[in-house]
Amino acid sequence: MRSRLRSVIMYMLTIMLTLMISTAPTSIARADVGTNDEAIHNPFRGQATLRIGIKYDQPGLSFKDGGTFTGLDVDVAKYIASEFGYAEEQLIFKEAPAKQRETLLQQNDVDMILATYSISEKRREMVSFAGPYFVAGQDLLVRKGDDSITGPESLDGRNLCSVTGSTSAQTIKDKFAKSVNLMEQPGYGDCISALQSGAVDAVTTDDIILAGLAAQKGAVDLKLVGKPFTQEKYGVGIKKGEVEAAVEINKAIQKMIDSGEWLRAVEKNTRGTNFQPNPQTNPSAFEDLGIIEAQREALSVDANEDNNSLSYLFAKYDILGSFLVNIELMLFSGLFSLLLGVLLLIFRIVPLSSLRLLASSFVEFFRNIPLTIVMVFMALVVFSQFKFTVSDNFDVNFFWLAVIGLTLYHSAFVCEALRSGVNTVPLGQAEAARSLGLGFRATAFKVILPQAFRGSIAPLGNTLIALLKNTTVAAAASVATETSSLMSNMIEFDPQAILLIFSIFALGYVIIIIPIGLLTTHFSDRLAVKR
Amino acid sequence: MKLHASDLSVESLAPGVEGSGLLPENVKIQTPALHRPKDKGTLLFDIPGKKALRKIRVFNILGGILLIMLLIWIGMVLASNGQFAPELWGNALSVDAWTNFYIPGLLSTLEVSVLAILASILFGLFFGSLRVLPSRICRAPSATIVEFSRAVPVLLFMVFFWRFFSLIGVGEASSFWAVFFGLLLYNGSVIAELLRSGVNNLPKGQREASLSLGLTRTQSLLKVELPQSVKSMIPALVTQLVVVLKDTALGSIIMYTDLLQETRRLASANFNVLQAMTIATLLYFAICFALTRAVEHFADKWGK
Repeated sequence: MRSRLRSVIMYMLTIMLTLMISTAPTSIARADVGTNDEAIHNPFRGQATLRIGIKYDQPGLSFKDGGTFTGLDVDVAKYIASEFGYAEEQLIFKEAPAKQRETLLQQNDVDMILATYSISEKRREMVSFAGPYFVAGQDLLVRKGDDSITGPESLDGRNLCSVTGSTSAQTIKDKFAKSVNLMEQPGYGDCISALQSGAVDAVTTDDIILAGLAAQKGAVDLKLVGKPFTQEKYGVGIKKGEVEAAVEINKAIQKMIDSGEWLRAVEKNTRGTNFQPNPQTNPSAFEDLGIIEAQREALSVDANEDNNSLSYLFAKYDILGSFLVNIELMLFSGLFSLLLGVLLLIFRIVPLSSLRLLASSFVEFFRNIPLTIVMVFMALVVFSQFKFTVSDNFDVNFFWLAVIGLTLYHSAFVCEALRSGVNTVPLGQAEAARSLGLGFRATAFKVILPQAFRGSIAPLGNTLIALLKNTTVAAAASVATETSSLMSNMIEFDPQAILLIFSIFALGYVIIIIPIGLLTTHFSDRLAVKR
Repeated sequence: MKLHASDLSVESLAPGVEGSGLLPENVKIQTPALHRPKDKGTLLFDIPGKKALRKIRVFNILGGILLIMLLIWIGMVLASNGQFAPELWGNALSVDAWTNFYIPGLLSTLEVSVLAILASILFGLFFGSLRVLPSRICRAPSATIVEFSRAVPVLLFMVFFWRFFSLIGVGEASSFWAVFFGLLLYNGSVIAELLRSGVNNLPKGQREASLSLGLTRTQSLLKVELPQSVKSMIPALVTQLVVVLKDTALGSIIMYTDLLQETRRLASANFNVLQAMTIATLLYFAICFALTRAVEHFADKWGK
C-alpha cells in the first residue's frame, strides 16, 4: 500500500518536473530558431504529452502487440520524443491508418506520424515531412520454392496481392507487367495467407515491411525477391509548414544516427528477417523543409480546371460500367437464389423430416449472420485458403465468388418470401385437394405452390430490391469495379466533388429501383389470386 | 384488417426486404390461412402410417449418412490444408484473442447498434408521423426523405459519410459516425414506414369515432391512431435491431473496428482466418438468433 502511494507520488513528481523542463526554456528556445546550434529544443513545448500516429499491423515497423508498441517507427519516435524531453509515459500512440494520416495531422489529432509514411509530392500538398529516417524500396515477397518470379517484370499473368489503394501494385501494373492479376485486401496478413496457400504468387509493398511480415511467427517458407524497384523515403509527418519542428526532428534523427542508436534499432527490428537496409540510400540525407516549401509556393499554379462537373466525372470514371456490374450481380444471384429458394421451400414442406431439418437450419443460419461475413468468407477462406477459383482472370473470379455468396444469403430470404406466399393460400385449398384424393406431390405442385407463387410476388420483389442494394457488399469479396468501391475511389481522388459524386450514385439506385418496385406492384396486383 | 406482427417479422429481417416503399398501401398482407397447424407440411400429406414411417426412417438414415460423408469430406479438405493445427485454433480461442479482439469488437458493434436503433426510433416516429398528417407540406418532404433513404444502399451512405466526415475533420470518429448515420437513415425510414402502415391498417372506425367526438384529424392521428400503431410496432422494432446488428458488419469495410474488423486483425496477426471467422460467425449468429427467437416469443404475446 505504501509503496504504491510512493510510486504515485514519484510519478506525479516526474510529470511535474518534465512539465517544468519542457515549458521553462521557452523563451531561450524561441531566440535560437534559425541559428545553427546543435542543441535540440522541443518544438511542441507547452504540451504535457506527445501524440504520435503509428500503424498497428506492421511487424518490425509499427506494431501493436497486445498493449505494447514495437518496431522501427516506434523506436525512432521514442528517441525523438526523449530528445524533446518526454518520458515514455508521456507518449500517446494512436492508430494512423494509411487513408487517414493526412486528416489526423490536419485536424491536429496527432503531433507527428511515423507510420511507414513515404514522402511524396502528392502528400506534400497536405502535410509536411521531416526526415527521412529510413529509405525502403518496393519489392516482392514469394514462396521459397518459387524461382520463376525474379522481379516485377516476371509477373505477367501471375496473381499478385496488395493492400487496398497501394501505390506498389499500381506501379507494377503500369510499368512492369500489364497483365498481372491483382487482388486487393485491407490488411497485409490477408495477403500473406493467400500467398501461403498458393492462391496468389506474390505480395508487394515496401521491402522492410515484407521482411517483417515474412519473419512473423506463422509465416513460413517465404522469401524476398530482393530487387527493390522504387525508393520509398519514410518521413516524419507533421502539420503543414511547421519548419521549426522539422529542423528539430531532423536534429534528433541525426543524433540517433550519429550515436549508433539508429543502426541498433534497425538491426533489432529486422532481426531474423535476413533483411539488410540498402547501404547506398541509408541513412539518407535530410531535405530542407524551408526550401521545399518555398519551391512549392513558387510552383503552385492554380489548377483551375472544371473538376466539379458531371461531364468531367463521367469522362474520368466508368460510372455506368460500375452500375452494370451491380446489375449483373443482381441478375445472376437473383436467378440462382430463386432456384435455390424454391428448392429450400420444397424441402421445407416434404414429408421427409431430415430434409425439413436441413432446409430450416440453412435458412435460420443465413438469416442470422451478416452478409458482409459471408462475402469476406468467400474472398478470404474459400478463395485465399482453399484456392477455389472459377476463372484465371481475377475480375471474373471474384465476380462469381460474390454471386455465390449473394446466392447463399438471399436464397434464405427467397425461401421465407415464398413461405409467406404459402400462407396466403387458404386452408380450404389444401383440404379440398386432399379430399379429392390427391397425394402430397399433386397437392403441393398442382394446387398449393402455383397459388403461393402468385401470392408471393410482392415479398419476392422486395427481396430483389434488397438484393440489388446488397450487391454493393461485393466490395468485401474483392469485387473492385462495383459502385460502392468506385464511389469511394472517386471521392478519394476528387474530394471537391463529393456531394455531386454521392448524388450520382444515390440517384442511380433510385432510378433502378423505381421500375422494379412498379413492376412488382403491377404483377402482384394482377397475379394475386382474387379471393 | 389487423397487421400481424408475425407477418412482418418474416420479411423485415432482410435489409430492405420491407420494400422500396414504392408499393402502394393497397398491397395488404393477407391473413395467414394455412397457419393453423404449427407445421404447414402436415396438411399436405397424411400422417404417415407404419409403412411410410419406415420409408421416412430409411431415407433419413440415408440422408444422415450422406451428410456425415459430406462433413468428413470437408474435414479432410480442411485437414489437408492444415487447418486443424492446434496453434491456429489456440490463437483464435485464447484469452488474448477474447480480451484484445472479440470483446472490444463486440462492444463496438453493440454500441453503435444500440445508439443507431434508438436514434432510428426517434427518426421513424418523427417522419412516420409527418407522413400521415393531413397537411401536404408535412407529407411531401418527409416522404422524399424516407423513400430516398430506403432506396439507397446502406453501404453507399456509410462510404459517403465516412469520406465526408474525414473531409470536414471529424478525425478518428468519422467511421463510427458514418456507420451510425448510415444505419440511422435506413432503419429510421423503415420504422417510419412501419408506423405509417400501422396507422393505415387500423380499423376505420377508430378515426370515424374520434372525428365524431369532435377531434380534428390531426388530433385523431396524434391521440388515437398513432399510439395504437406504435404499440403494434414493438415486435417489429426488435426485429429491426437484428437488421441493425447485422448491418454494423458493413462498418468493417469503412474501417470501423467492429467485431468483424477486430476478427480480421486477429486473423492477419495469426494467419488463422478460417478459425477466427468461424468464431465471429458463431458470435453474430448466437446474438441474432436469440433476438429473433425473442421477437417470435413477444410477437405471440403482443399479438393476442
